[in-house]
Amino acid sequence: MTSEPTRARTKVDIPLVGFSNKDRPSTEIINTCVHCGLCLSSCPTYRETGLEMSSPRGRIYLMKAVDEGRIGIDSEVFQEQMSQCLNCRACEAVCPSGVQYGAILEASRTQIEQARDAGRSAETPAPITAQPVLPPRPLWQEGLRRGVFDLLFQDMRIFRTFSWSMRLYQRSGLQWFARNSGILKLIRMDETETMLPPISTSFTVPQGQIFPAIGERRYSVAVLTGCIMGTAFAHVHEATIRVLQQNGCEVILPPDQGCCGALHTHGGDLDGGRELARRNIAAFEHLGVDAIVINAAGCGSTLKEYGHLLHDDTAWHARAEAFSEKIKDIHEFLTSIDMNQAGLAPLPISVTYQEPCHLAHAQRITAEPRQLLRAIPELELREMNESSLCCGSAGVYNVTQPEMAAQLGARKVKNALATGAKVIATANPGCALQLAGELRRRGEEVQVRYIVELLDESYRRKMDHS
Amino acid sequence: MLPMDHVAPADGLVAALCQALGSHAVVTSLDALRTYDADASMIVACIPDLVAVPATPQQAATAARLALQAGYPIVARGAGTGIAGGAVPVRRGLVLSFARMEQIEQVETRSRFAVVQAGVVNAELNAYLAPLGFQFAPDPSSQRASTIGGNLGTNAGGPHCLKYGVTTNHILAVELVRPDGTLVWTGDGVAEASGYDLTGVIVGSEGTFGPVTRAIVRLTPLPEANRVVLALFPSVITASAAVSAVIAAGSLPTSLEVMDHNGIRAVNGAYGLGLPEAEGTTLLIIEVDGVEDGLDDLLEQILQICRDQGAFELRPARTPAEQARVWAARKAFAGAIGRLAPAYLLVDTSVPRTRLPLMMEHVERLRQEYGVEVCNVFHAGDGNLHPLVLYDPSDADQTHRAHAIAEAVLALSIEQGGVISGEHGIGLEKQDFLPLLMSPADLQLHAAVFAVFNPTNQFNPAKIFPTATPPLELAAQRRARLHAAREPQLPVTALADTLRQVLGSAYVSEHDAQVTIQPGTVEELAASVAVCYRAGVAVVPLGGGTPPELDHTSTEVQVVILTQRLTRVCTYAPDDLTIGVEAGMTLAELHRLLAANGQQLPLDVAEADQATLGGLVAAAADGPRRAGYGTLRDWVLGMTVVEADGTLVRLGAQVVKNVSGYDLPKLLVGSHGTLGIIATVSLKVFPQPPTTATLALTCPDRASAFALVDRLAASRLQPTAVEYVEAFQATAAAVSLQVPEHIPTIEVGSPSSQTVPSPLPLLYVRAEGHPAAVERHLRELARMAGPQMASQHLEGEAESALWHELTALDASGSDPHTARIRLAVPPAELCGAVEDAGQLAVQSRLGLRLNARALNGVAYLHATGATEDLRQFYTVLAERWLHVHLLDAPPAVRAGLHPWGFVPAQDLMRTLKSELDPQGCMHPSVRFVP
Repeated sequence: MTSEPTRARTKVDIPLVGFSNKDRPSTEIINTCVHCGLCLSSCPTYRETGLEMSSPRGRIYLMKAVDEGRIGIDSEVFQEQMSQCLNCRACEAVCPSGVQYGAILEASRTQIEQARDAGRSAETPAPITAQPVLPPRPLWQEGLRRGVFDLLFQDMRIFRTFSWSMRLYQRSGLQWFARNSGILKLIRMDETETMLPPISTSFTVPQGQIFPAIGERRYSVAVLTGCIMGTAFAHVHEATIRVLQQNGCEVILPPDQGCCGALHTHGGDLDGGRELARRNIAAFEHLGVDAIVINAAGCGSTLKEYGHLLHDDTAWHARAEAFSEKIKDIHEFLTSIDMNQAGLAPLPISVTYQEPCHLAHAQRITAEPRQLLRAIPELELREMNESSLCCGSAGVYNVTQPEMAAQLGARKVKNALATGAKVIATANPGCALQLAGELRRRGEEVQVRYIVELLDESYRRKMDHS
Repeated sequence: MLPMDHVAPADGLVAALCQALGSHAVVTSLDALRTYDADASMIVACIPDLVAVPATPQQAATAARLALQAGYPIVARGAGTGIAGGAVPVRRGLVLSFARMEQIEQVETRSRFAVVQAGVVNAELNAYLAPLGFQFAPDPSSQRASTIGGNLGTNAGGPHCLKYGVTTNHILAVELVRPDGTLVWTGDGVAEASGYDLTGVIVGSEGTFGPVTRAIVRLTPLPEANRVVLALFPSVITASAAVSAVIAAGSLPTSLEVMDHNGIRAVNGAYGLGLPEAEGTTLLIIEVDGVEDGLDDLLEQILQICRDQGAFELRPARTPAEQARVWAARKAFAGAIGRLAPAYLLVDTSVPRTRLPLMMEHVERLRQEYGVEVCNVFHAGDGNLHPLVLYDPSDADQTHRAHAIAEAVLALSIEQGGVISGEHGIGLEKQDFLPLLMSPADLQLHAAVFAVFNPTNQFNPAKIFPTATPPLELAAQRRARLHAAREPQLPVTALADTLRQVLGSAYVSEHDAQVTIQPGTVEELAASVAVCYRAGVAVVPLGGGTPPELDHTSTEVQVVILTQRLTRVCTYAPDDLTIGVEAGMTLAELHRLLAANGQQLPLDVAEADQATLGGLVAAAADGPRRAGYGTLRDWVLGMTVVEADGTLVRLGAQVVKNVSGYDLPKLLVGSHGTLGIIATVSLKVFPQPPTTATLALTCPDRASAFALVDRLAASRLQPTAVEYVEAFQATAAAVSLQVPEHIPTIEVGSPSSQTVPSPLPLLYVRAEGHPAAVERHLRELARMAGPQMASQHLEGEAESALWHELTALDASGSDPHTARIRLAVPPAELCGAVEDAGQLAVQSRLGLRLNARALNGVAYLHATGATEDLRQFYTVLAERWLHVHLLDAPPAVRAGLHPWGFVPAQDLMRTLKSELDPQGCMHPSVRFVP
């Protein structure tokens, strides 16, 4: 009943640059896709472009083509599509066959990076060897990437120093100058620059602090402070700690922890991500806490997948699994305990909820955030259209795919504004920056807040009144 | 096939496409094009030369024109979720993707239609309509991603089409790309357009008639309430038997879906169903919907049947979330197979539903014989099987055995009176199996219609038709056959005698130039037509009525074929809810036959003891109950037809779901004998409802009557008929409207009186179904009507008498002063149209009585008066309104008038007629196109 496959190729004699064995995308996962196409309508880049290769099914098909040796990873289309994907994993949530798309995408990106690394050391493109080779990035790009991945996000001291300098940039008038002089446009950093968050005045530096529970101590929890959450969103950490305290939690911020590694694993640097994972596991595993609570969706999903990330590492795999077991998203945690409802004061505001992909799709947490918003008296939740379609932030996506990021950001904000809500609630730094950036561009007054901030405000109002 | 080298498309074409659509909407890179070489069938044919992704219908037309002019084939693609290879290129060319054409352009809830672009995703259209209280009823399992264009290309079904029908029942018109790159609409959304039902034949044509860029779709009100129950059976066979028992008991649920233990295993975990997975365990999903009243009782009746048939557990899905989970699991089924095996063959065949248990036994036998795992999920209520054969493509032997099972299922389905595709289409998957189902002549007729729409074979080439017999070749064969069949030519003078030899002299009579024959069998009918064809004379088939076009005074020799001796039942297994009969059977006889088995054809017409099924189908007759049940177009499943040269062909089949080849029966419905003579017809029939009742309302005025109709249309009630009756007075004419005694009689006008009482409009609303549901309809309706309307509740004999009287109003009288006219409008405009027609009648000094299917926008006008006034009235009315059809009038009134209403896509209509009947001998006096 099936015709024999016919595969067209331009030049059959040139050997293909295939996948190497290290961190190879799993053939088994690739073959779990039966090409049904039910993922298409949930994919943001497919919705924007209407192109099959920009859909999850199309991208898996390209991975399959490389895996089976029909195209090479030097294919521009393959590289472009691996980069254009937001890794929002909306497709995973709707896939009937349960294809673990994130895993094969991240592996594919890593393959490309490995080949580029090899390309830097190789003199001439080699024929088929164990390690495929791609031309390296321009030196300045590579330098920037290595600086970000190997230094900035590996060492939180460097990250905090960088954040201070950014704060200085914002407060000194330099930002005003840069934005108004047109210099940003000149160096094509204008889109990216709008994403620069206003840096908090004080950073959350984990040094082993212990915040006592308010009232009876019911749980002991630890919090991962992360990178950008600890500097730009330190106020969200403070709110998180207060909300946990309000709910009978003793909150610990263990030292020696760092970035979760999401940027690395999503960006094709699985080894960099593993380095960070090991460090975090070591920092938390001996605490004996009931849960490790995470307030950023992207970090939460990465931390929950440490087991998969370290699946080849015999020394760490079991420890990683045990660590991931403890990870609880803040919304998941609060709705799983007997929450302190009595301490919530009314907040008479209209709120719409933008679902972070790594909460809704990667962690499948959709009801809990809404449940928390509805728990706040007098808060009116107005659902937006396409609330779970990616906002286009997706880590460094704004830098790598500025055009698509801007289209999706505009689409998201349009949907949010259509609800007439005064606040867009979310739960992830990337989304918060993307939404705020787009709102600022439009000159809109609508605020972007974390759900936990709204809870905190509600608890504090009650405290102030009593 | 040999590997072929990729040849870059002509630069000029790429440049022109980029200019028209923008370079972001044109794909030329080879590795990107690779992703277009397959759809959900995973049948890999070839990589296209290029892909265009237009954003508007105009851009799509431009892209198509450029590619067609450059000689490229065009393959239309929606979301690529089809499983027969319909959207996969075979001859390279341009893939025209509709992924960006996702505008819902217009939604008219009162007239119940929406205009949508081809790329609108089914689930998103439904999400848009739900808050308005409506749905687009077809719900294929792929609906989350699949597009309306794709749905209509394959005439998609879905779990809920047991009650609501398949896609073709919900598409009112389409906008089609023609071979010259222009766009043409096949209608304006009003169902009663004159001419051939092009929309009906384009739906299910799998893109081979050209890409569809937009469609007018029917909106169906959402039911007020529903119930979903999961019933677990010990075996597929017992579950299938329960399905038959449920249907035999007279209730028609919304869905009856079966899934076997393998199917349960695939979805159980992922969707948290928590169902037992033991070998043999079979799940039957039952859904009923309607008004809340009586629904629980109806469900309980069905559950009792399930218990009696061996169900060991019944689990209701109570909350909307639970129901959504059940349906999500059911619809994700095929996609979830990746959890069980790396590949599958999804066989899609359709059989008369009583053959399901037998088919299941066959499938089980094949499974054991070939040692390959098979999952069974199927639309059990429709007799639509979906055995899924699981295999590993890297194992050549297993692959071979899997295909062997699939092929055996196809052959067995045909053997059981079924077809080789119920809802997925033929595409690439089954093209070489079509000859098992169709005779060479059947295929030739398909090809002839193909040639009308796709004369250059550039639209989705190498699909549907068997690879060995390309359609244009088949069409040429047919033309040659028609040419050859004229030999040896028969002198007209010898015609009657030759016919006597065929039929016996008792069944041939001559009157002036007219020969009247009465064939006694289908074969005699075919033989007589062949004789007429050789004599080159016109043939006019006649049922019980007299088509006004029949000119008895014609001096040209013509043969009138009376079908009244063709009255046999061909196939009737009541539990299948279908019947096949010869064309000459009267509707009254059919009603009697069905009633003896507790069934019905919900068509009520005047003079049912005269009207034949063939005649009713050829005239596309409708009845008041179309509001609840639809029309003949929705019920005709198959036919045998005698073509111009006397060749007998079979169109469709006697199964309720069928996408095996084109839906050619649609072309014959309403064709008035101009394309072929209907010899037999297979129909979908319905269980008789347990209760029926009618509320007769006397309305103070037209406005309040239509206000009530509007409220009714916006409510969640599901009346089966809403008939509006009004008479307009004109002092010069007398119109009397007779209704049963218990309804206030209205005397309208009187020749002697100048002051007559103003006639009051009447409204008759009928409800059928569970007694509580019927009671609820009438109660709520009376409340809506309020105290200013006199109402009367009718049931039993009185109700039948009333509807008999009401349909008798449609009778074509022999009154030389009466013209019968049909006026069709979008339902929202009916009130205005009625008012306009009334005023015009009064101005034209006519008496006018009209009865209208108020929810459907179709009015039948009986105008009485002087010849010139009648001619004036019709002419002006036809100028003002698009769909005005002069059904019947004395020759003096008809003379010189074009009786047909608006005919869309006239070029296609003309080409179709000349391709199918090149000699123009089939009922030539009917000319839809002036």
